[in-house]
Amino acid sequence: MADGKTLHCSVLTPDGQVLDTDATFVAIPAHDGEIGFLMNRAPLLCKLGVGELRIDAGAAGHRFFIDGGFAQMLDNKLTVLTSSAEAAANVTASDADAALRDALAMPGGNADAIAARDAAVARARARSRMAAGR
Amino acid sequence: MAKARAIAGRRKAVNNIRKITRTMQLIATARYQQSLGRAVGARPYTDKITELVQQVSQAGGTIEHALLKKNDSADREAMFLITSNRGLCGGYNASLIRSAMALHRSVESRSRQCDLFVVGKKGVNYFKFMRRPLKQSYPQLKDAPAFAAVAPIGDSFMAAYAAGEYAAIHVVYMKYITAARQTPETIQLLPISAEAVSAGGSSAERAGGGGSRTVQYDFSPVPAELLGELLPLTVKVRLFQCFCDAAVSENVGRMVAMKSATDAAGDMSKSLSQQYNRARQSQITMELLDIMGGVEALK
Repeated sequence: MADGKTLHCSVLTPDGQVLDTDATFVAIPAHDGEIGFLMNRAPLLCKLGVGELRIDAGAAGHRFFIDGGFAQMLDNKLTVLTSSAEAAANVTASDADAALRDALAMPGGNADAIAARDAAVARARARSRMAAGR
Repeated sequence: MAKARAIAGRRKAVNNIRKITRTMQLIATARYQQSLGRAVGARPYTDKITELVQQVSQAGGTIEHALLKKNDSADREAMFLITSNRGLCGGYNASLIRSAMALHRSVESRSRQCDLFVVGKKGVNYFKFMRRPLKQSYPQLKDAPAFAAVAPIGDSFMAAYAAGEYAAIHVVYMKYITAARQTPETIQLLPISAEAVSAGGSSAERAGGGGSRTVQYDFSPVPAELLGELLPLTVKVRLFQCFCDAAVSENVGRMVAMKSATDAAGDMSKSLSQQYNRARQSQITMELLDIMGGVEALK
């Protein structure tokens, strides 16, 4: 990129490296809300929540749906570790709505079941938000 | 002609076997490439997780976690053995079982009971033959093990360990070093050893980029909570790495075994050809002598 104001971003999953690129801006879904990164951000180690990972790499942009994991920012390098990164193109509104219906229908008998249902609902809502935002 | 025909029949059989072993070798090569790709692809992720744990624990001061605490009062230990479903892979299963039995003996020498968890038919059948009950057996994973398939196994071990059921959980698997070298390895999955967590070990140096120097991070959430999330993940990641290594080693073992079988069949076919030719020649000579003898008699 011409102005050189970039940070390096890589997305790693157990199945291999999903992305390795220079970016001007990256937004990650942290556990407590979205965090944006520009070049030379102070070192950060944080837990990720459910949501959309947006990477602005000049002309090309990348969007992934991620569900938990960790992010590390160090020396202008952002590393996103997640169990799976799904490309935005694979996230459709109809699938997300179906997932939301299924999630809402899950039983909530005890604390564990309620937590599992809440997580499933949050995941489905994040997917439908992401599909709508495209 | 009886002898020559018998040799020709054997040669044909040997050639057929050679064709089969050669095909198996080619299949094993393809699978080896696949599983190696998987194992290599997983490396950056697993290395990074290890590095994060070290950095968080540096900032966290004293760490207390159920997975780090020793369960010395428990009267049993668990052994998780990764074998293959199929044979014809050289000494792969035999050497794994040998290491497993060595571990079994050492656990018993600590006067603890050893619960067996076995992956793969070869290991399951061995313990069935030895009449040792298995706590649980698992089907073998594919050549490219999926992290999602390994994670529940790790979860169940962690739950059992946290509940104080086991004093230690060991994994026996075939470590892949190079294509020419694999050794059976026994690692302690739980409790997580202090060296794995605290920075300064060789893995921290390998991770580079901040492993040895202290960096002031913004932590979110606080380090202790972050570590609580990271430690279970490291256990799963280590288990996953074991499965990947095991898959690669098995395919290498099969590749090498089938290559030597193919070579041996080739050599045997060659020597059988020589024997056949000699037998045929001597038969012709005998027949000629018979005819000559007949001619002489008629004179």
